[in-house]
Amino acid sequence: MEREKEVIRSIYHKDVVNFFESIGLSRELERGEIRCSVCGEIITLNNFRAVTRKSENLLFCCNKESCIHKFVSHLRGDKA
Amino acid sequence: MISFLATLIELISKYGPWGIFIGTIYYLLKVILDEDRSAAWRARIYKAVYKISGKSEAEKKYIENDINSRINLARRNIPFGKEYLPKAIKVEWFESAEGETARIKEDEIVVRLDPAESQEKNIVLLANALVKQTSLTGIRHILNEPLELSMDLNLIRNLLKEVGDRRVLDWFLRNEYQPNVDKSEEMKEWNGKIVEIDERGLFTRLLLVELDEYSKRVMGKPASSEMFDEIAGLVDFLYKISTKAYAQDVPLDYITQNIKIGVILVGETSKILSGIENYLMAFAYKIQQQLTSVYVIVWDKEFLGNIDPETHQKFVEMTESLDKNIQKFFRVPKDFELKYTCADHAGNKRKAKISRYIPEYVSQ
Repeated sequence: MEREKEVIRSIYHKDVVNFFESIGLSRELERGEIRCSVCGEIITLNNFRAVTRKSENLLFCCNKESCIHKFVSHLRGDKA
Repeated sequence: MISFLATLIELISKYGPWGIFIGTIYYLLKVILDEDRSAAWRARIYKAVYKISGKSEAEKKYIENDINSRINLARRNIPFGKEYLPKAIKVEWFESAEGETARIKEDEIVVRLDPAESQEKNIVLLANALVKQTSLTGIRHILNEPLELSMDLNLIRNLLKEVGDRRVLDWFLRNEYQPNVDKSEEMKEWNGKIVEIDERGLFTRLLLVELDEYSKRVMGKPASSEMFDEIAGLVDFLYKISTKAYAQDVPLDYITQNIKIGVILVGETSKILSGIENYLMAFAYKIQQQLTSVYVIVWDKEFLGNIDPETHQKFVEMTESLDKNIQKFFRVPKDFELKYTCADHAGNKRKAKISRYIPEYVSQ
């Protein structure tokens, strides 16, 4: 049986500030310039749930169940 | 755990007090050599440390080990042909060297996890991500949303059921499964079909196996409505088999441009007890049609073993003889054989077995 693993990098809930600093977007976060790529809501330290990169652009997702579902579904780029 | 206790009792009855010693060594070796089981123990230890100390490092270690062990042990009970579905998971904490800009790779998903107290949400989130990233690969662009979502939801539900924690499953069913199923009539219809197919044990053991094959055949081709119809037709074909009433005739072959499969159902005790010739003739007919996979599905009557052990034994022998004869006469290698239990459409418990045969001309 195969043991190939899908590595999923995760952010510890106390490290969210450091995470935004590490990707160089802490100012944009403070200014409310980052939005959920699914529903358009402003991303904050509290509602941030996931991030991915598509065609060099970072896409963020808020913590609404409906958003995270759509966000994850479209990850592989299978859908147009 | 139950199998370990049974082994321990057997060892004690055989070797007396030494049995406890041998059993303990055996259990420790089993845990040490199995990274998912050892992760489960590490999770318990770090959880205790976190509860006492409240330290972040212990919380992180608990979250990471608990998710890795629970999801990876659960997926071992979801057979996908010869493999398991979805892929195994490894949670890694996002860290970047000081002063350096961290890099997120193309298509990589990085998720923020909740505190240890909300671990059920973390497990559901990662089960979701794992299923969507590692299953239905290569066909998601062909499926419509309700069918894709129905397959995802039921795969996640199966995975979380195997996690064995009611809180996790309840959270998922209440917050994700049911709201999504209730979204539209189309969603309810597709989900109903997938649930029936799953209840007969044909979702991960047949439908997903064939869809994986399908994805290889259509690789590189643009999605078309004909492709969706082929997949939707396969779901309908399996739904009809799954809901087949006693003595009802349903199609047992499904032949389209990219899918050519056949099914032989062995469910009626009296029919197989009178001989396997009819089944062998059915198999010959399927080979003649150049099908790419033939499945033999045996639905055994659970109660038969209790009320008539002799007939039951004969039933088992005849199904084994059918398998041997198929391999001998048609020279078709058996790809896999999986035993499981399920409930039939009338709610009766059944022992079941599914075997997949791939004729030699397929690889030629």
